[in-house]
Amino acid sequence: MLSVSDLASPDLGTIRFRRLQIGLVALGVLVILAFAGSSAHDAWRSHRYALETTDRELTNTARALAEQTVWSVQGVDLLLLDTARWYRSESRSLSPDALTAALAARVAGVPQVRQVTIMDAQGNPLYRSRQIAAPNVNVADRSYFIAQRDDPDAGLFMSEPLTTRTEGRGAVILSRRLDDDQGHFAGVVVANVDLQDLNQFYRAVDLGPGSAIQLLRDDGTLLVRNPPRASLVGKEFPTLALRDTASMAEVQNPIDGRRSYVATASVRNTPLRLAVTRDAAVALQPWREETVRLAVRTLIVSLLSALSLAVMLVQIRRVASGQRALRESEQRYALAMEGANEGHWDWDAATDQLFLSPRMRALDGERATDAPSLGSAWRASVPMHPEDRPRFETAVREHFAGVRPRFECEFRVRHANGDWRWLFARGRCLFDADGKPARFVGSAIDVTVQKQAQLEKEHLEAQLRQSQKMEAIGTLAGGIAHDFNNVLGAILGYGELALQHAGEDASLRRYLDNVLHAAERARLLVERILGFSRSGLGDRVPVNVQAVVKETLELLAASLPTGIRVEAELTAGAAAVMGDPTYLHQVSMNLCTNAVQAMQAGGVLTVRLTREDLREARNLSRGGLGPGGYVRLTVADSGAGIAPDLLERIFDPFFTTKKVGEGTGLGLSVVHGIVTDLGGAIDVHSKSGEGTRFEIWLPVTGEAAIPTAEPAESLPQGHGETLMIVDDERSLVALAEEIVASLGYEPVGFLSSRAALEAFQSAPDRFDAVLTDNTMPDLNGLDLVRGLRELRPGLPVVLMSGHGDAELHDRAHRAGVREVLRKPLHGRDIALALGRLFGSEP
Amino acid sequence: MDAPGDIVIYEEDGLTRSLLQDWLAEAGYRVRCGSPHQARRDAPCKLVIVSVFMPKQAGAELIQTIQAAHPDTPVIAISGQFRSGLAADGATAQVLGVRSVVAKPLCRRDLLGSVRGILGNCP
Repeated sequence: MLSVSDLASPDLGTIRFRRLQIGLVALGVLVILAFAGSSAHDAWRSHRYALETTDRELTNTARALAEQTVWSVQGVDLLLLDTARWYRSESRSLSPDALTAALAARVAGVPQVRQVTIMDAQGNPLYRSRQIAAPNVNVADRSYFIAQRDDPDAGLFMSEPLTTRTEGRGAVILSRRLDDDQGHFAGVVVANVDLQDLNQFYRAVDLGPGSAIQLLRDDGTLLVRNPPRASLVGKEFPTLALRDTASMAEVQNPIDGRRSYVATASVRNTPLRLAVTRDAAVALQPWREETVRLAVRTLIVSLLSALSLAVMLVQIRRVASGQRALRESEQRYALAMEGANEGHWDWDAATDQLFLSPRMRALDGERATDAPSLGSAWRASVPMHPEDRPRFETAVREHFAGVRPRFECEFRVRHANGDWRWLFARGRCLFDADGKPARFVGSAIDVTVQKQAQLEKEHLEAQLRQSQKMEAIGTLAGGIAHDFNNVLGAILGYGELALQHAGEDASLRRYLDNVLHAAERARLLVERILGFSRSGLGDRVPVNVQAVVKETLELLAASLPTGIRVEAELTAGAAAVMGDPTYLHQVSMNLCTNAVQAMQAGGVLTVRLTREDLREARNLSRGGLGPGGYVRLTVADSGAGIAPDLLERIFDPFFTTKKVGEGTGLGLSVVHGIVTDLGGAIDVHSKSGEGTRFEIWLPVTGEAAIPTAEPAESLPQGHGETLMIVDDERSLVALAEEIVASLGYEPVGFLSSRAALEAFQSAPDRFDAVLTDNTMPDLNGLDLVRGLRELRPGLPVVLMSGHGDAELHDRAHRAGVREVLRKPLHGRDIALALGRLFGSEP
Repeated sequence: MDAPGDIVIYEEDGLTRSLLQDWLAEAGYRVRCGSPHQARRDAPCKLVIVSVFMPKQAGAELIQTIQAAHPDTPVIAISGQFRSGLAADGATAQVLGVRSVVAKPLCRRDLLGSVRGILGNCP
C-alpha cells in the first residue's frame, strides 16, 4: 500500500542521481584543477630549466672565453716581457735597424699584436716593429706610460680602448715597464692589440640572438663586443663588470636597456672581465613557448573534460528523468488501482503461473499468504458461489474461443466471515501465433454495494409501482363505491319501501327479500373494496392496539380447529395508533384467519405485539418506515409457506390461492390498504415448508388505556344450550359460531334457511334457540321463523339484520322474534340478547 | 320556505335524492333540493344533508362551501366512502365539522335517527 509520505518526499532514486551529478561535477573540477596544476608545475620547471640552461651556458661561455682571453693576453704579455728582457740585454749591441727588424720578427709570431713599440723614459718612441708614416708622438701623457713610470710594480697594464692614431682602428695598448740595470725607469714596451682581432675570435662563438659577449676592463670600460657595436667601445658599463659570480645575475642591460642575464668571468692576471649577456626575453623564450603550449593543452583538456562532463550530466539527467517518469507511471498505476479498489491478475497459459495482486487476493477472499500461484489451483480453491461458477466458466471459455472479444463476468465469492461478495471481473486474453491463449490479464472490483443498491433500487421501484397501482385502484374503487352505494342505497331503500307496501302477497315479499339480499351482498363487497383501496373514511381516534389484538384472539380461540395452537405474546401495553378501531380489528382478524387457514394440517399460530423504536429509516417488503416509535404485530403460521412468485402478489386485490367461493381474495389487500392508510408498513417472510410471517408496523401516536370492557364473566353465559345459526354468508356463520361458543353455548351453523328448516323438522327439540339472518335467498329469515315456530311454538328466536327499522321490528315481533340485532354483530350484544332469551343472570 | 322542519338536500345522484325526499316526506319533514355549487345564503333552513364524494380530499371543501352558505345550520354528511357502521357523531363527524355522518348505501333507520336526533320528532 502506498502512503502519502512516500509520494511527498523525493525518492531514493532522485537523491542517488543528484549525488552522482554532484560527484561527477566535483570530479571534473578536480581533474581540471589537477591538470592545470600539473601544467603550472611544468611551466615552473620549464622556467627553472630555461634559467638553469641559460645560466650554465652563459657562465661556461664566459669562463671559457675568459680563459681564451687569458691565453691571448698572456701571449702578448709574454711578448712584452721577452721583448723587455731582450731589449735590456741586446739593445746596445744592435743597430736601430736591427732592433726594428728584431721587433718585427717577434711581432710576427703573435697575430693579435699589430705592433710593438719601445718608448724611452720620456715617452718618446724609440723603436717600432713596424714602420709607419705617422710622426712619432710623445706618449708621456698616456695612461699606459704613466702607470708604468709611476709604479714600478704595475706589471702588465692595459689601456682603455682607443682608436689608434696611426691607423684609426680600435685597439688597446698593453705595456710593461723597462728598467735599466740599476732598476730605474727606462721606458716602456708597448704592444698594440687590435680589438678587431679579438673580436674575430669571439665572433666564432655563436650564442644565438639576443646574446652578446663583452670584454671589459675591471672598471667596466667596454673593450670588445660581439656582435660589434663600435660606438659603445670605450664607454663604461660597470653593471656588466660584476665580480666573479658562481652563476649569472639578472640586470638591466645598460647597452639596450632590456632585462638581461649576465655571467661574468675575470680574465686571470689581467684587469679584464668577460661578460656574456643574454636578453631575458630570449633566455626565457623556450619557457614562454612551453608555457603557451601547456596553457593551450590545459585549456583543450579542460574544455574536453567539461564537455564530456556536461554530456554525462545531460545523460544522467535523461536517465534520471526517465526513471522518474517510470516511477511516476508506476505510482500512478498503483494509485489508480488503489483508488479504483481494483485487484488484478495475470495468468501465463504455458506455465499456469498466476499472479494475483494483494487486493485481488483480498477480493477473492483468500488469505494473502497462501494464495495459489497456479491458475488451476486457484480455480479449484476460490470459494465461488455454486450458482455463479457455470457462468464464470462459460465466460472464460467463450472469451478464449473468441466468441466474446472481452471477458466480463459478475460472480460471488464467500469471504472468511461468511459474507458473499459480488465481484465484477474484466479481462483480456492474449493469443499466441497459433491462436491459443497465451496470457490472461484483467482486473476485478467489488460491486457488492452497487449490487445491493441495484437490488434496493429495484425493490423501491417495485414498491413505487405497487403503490401507484394501488393508488390507481383506489381512485377507481372510490369512484365505483360512490356510484355503487348510491345505486345500492336506492335498491335497498326502495326495496324496503316496496316490501312495506307489499301487503300479504307471499311471493312478492319473497321476490323483494331476494332483491334486498342481493343488494346486501353487493354492499359488503363494496365495503371491502373501500377497505383495500384506502378511499374509505373511518374514524381517526387513538386505538389501543393490544386491546384490538386481544379481542381478535378471543374471537379466534372459539373457532380454532383442533391441532392449531396459539402462542401469543402481547407486550405493547398502552401504545396507541391513530385510526379506526374497526379497521384495526379487520387487520388483525384477517391476518389471523389467513394464518389459521394456511395450517390445514395443524400447527402453531404465533401472535406477537411489541413496541419498537427505529433509530433509522427501514425498508420493508411493503412500504418504508422513518425513524420513530412503532408497534409491531407479528402473525406467523407454521404452514406450507408461500412460493416466492406468489409472495409478490398476495396483496393484490382479488388474488387468492383459495378455491373459488372460499375467499374473496380481498383479505390481505384490505390489510394492506388499512395499514398503508395508517402510515404503517408490512414485512412478509415466507419459507417453503416453514410457514409465513407477517409483520405489521404501525406508528405509535401516543398512549391509550385499554378500554375497560366488561369482564367476560359479567356477560350472561350459556350452559351448553344448542343454538341454530343461519346465515348464507359463511364468514358470518363462523363469526356467530365463534361468539356463541365463547359464551358457553353449542352452535350449529347452517348456510341456507332451507337446510336449517329441514334439520329442525328432523329434530325439533335439538335446538334451544335460533339465530338467523333476515335477508336470505329462497326463504328469508322471517319466513323461516314462521316455519320453525309452526313446528315448535315458543321457540326463542334472535333475528340479525343489516337493515331494518321500526317496520321490520314490528313484522319480526309479529312473526315471534324475541330479539332483533343490528349487523355487524358484536359479541356483547349477542351475549346480552341470549341472556335475556334464557333469563340467565350475568 | 321558512316553515319549521325545512331540510335542504345537496345530492347529485337522482335516485338517492328521490329516496331521501320520499323517506323524509314520509316522516313528515319538508324537503327541498339544491345544487351544491349554487348554494344560496338567502334560503335558510333547519338542516342540511350533503352528499360528499371523496370526503378525504375534495369533500372537505364542499362541506366548507355548504357551511358558508348555511351558517349556524347543522349538517349531515352522507358518503359512499364512509365506513359502514361509523358512529354518527363520532370522530369522523368532528373531523369533518358536521353534526352527523351516515354511510351509503343509506339505511332509513340510520338516516331518520340522525335527522330526529337533530330536529326532534316531526310534530
